[in-house]
Amino acid sequence: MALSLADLAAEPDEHFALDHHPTWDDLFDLHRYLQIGLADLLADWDVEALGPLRLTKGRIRTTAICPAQVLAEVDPFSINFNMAVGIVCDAAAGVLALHPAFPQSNGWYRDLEASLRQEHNHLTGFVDGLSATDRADFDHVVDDLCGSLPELLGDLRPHRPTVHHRIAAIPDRAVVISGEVDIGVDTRFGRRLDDGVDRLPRPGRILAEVKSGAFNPRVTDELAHYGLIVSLQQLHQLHHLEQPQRDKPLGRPESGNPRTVVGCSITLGDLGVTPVALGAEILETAARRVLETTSGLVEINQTMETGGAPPTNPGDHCRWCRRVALCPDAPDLVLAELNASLRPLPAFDPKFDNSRFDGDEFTDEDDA
Amino acid sequence: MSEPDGSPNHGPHGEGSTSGEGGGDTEPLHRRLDAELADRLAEAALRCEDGEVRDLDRAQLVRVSGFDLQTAARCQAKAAAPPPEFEPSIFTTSRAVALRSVRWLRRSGSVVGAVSDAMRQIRRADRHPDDGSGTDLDWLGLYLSDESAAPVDVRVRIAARAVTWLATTLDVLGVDDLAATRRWRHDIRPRWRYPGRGLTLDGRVDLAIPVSGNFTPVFVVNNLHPATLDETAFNVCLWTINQRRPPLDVVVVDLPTATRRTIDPEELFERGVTAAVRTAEAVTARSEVPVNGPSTAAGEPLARGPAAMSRNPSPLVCQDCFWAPNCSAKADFDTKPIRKGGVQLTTANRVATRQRPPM
Repeated sequence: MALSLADLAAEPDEHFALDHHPTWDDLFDLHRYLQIGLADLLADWDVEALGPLRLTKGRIRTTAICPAQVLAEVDPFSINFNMAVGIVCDAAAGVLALHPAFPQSNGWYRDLEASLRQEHNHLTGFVDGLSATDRADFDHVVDDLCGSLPELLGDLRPHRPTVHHRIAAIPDRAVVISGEVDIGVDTRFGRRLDDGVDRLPRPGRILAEVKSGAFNPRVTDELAHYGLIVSLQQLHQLHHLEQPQRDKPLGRPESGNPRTVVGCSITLGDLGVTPVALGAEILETAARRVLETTSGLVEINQTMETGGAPPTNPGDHCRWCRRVALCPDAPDLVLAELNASLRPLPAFDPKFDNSRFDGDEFTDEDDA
Repeated sequence: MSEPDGSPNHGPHGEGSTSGEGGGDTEPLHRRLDAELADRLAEAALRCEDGEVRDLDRAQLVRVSGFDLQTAARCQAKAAAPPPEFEPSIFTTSRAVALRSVRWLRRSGSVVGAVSDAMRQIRRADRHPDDGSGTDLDWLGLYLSDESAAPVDVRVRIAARAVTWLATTLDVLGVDDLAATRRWRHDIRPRWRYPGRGLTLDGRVDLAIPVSGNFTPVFVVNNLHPATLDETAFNVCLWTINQRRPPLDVVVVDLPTATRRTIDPEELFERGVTAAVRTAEAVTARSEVPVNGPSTAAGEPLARGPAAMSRNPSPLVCQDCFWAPNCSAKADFDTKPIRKGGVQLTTANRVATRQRPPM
């Protein structure tokens, strides 16, 4: 029997290495690092006029590839086959987290259609427009992938699941870091750490990301992004950072450490449940990405305000960029391919990493 | 301890009214608030039906709600447009389900159990033992019992959102022991009525938690936008008048950032009254909207009421606005560069990024 998220929640010590789990001091240092870096990058940012800079998971990913990709956000929402499959898988996971015996009668898409029409009408519009053949393919792929979800999730109800939980942290008044956690569950860690100090038992939280593709190291980055946000939230709850009240804990006071936050990747393409420890070093890397993204977006913003050409980083990844047809720096080879490729999409391959098509760019739009 | 529910009206002409009595700084705060609302809403009230609220039909009343407050805080003119029809959906019911689940927390022993029990109870209200008719169902029960409108997947999504809302709220409030929720009150509706006119202010307080012999109102919000704080301030004003004393503290729980802010209510009263006046001006002007809607003729001004109001166009505000087709402020806004999430995405003419023609 495959490992499930419920198994991880029930026996977390069996699956997570926590040797470098951050302490309050680590988180405090992390926050200082972010504060100093952001203050430097945003010294000229007029937050009253421009509003805060919003750093979503999607922006962090695309800016690292090519900073100009953010400009594609101006285009109308578009959806493709793989994105549609990913959204239905996410929705199915969200339903199963609360209702593990969700009745299956007409196939996953049809059984979820009423809620999808309310929450993802762009998706249902896309599916309605599919040809009969494509629609049959779509239903087949969705049913194939979602069919494994009950086993990969298990019964999460005893673990206080949260579903599609929007989270955000504000390390600097000019920056909002945000994301949406597919599924979160409570757990309790009880293992003695390597330093020999008992801190037992202590509460924890598993943040799970559901992917319709196969496991990819990028999923770890996404989980680290969530881990960073939740860690900053804990620190804020404990300290009320604007007023130094370290002796007045507002979080869960039974432990001398922050609530242990770990990640879990649930990949339907390879039927994998992969625990991901979110140690201090991983969170530092996530914080560094926040600073790099901020730097890239500030530069793009300045360029656009002054009417200059936005900085780009052309390469093979241009094939997946939404503004490739508008970009002056797109490689000729890619453009030639695109011109010649007005042909049907390749057949869907569950092993294909479609984590970039999880619709994340559109989950934080209503922050304002 | 005074109970926050029941919400008897102690407005100017309600029970316990002291309108016309006393004066000066020694007057209790709730009476000063009451008088200030009556004074500053006088002009808006003139556009409402003559008569006491209790003597008027529902259709004759002008009601100013928290929803109107938020709309007017973002764009006053939009609040003067005909209000959108309320339609129950996943988005509009999950919060109500979460609030009704609060009373089940202690008995059910878990957040999931509480939401499950609450939804069962909401849907069961129509199961009359004698004839099975559905006279007891309220709007939420009717929606959740309608298999065609809310099939099982919709109900599970509503439950999932409610569970997430409730679990996060409890986390932020630091509640580990669900027994502590036994004396909580939820979904309290303070109301204020204008004396002699068909104008009411309808507030809402998500939770009230007993603290030191009093109840602390708790507002659970999805952002800390100034409009949200306006609504909170408005609700605190109505709460204070209904309770005849101000709360010791006001707690605002921001769900995405998992933070709570404790606010001194003194900081909110002026803001709340100002927000109420701004909104009432807009809502009472709805009667001046032409029957056939805004004119589409170029250059023709909007209806008299909205045209005189402040406007604050943005993609979010304008996307479903009644006035959008011929709002000059929006037309002006549309000529400016598009900005999203802090980043300017286009240059002024909005096509400068098209340096290469689309293929």
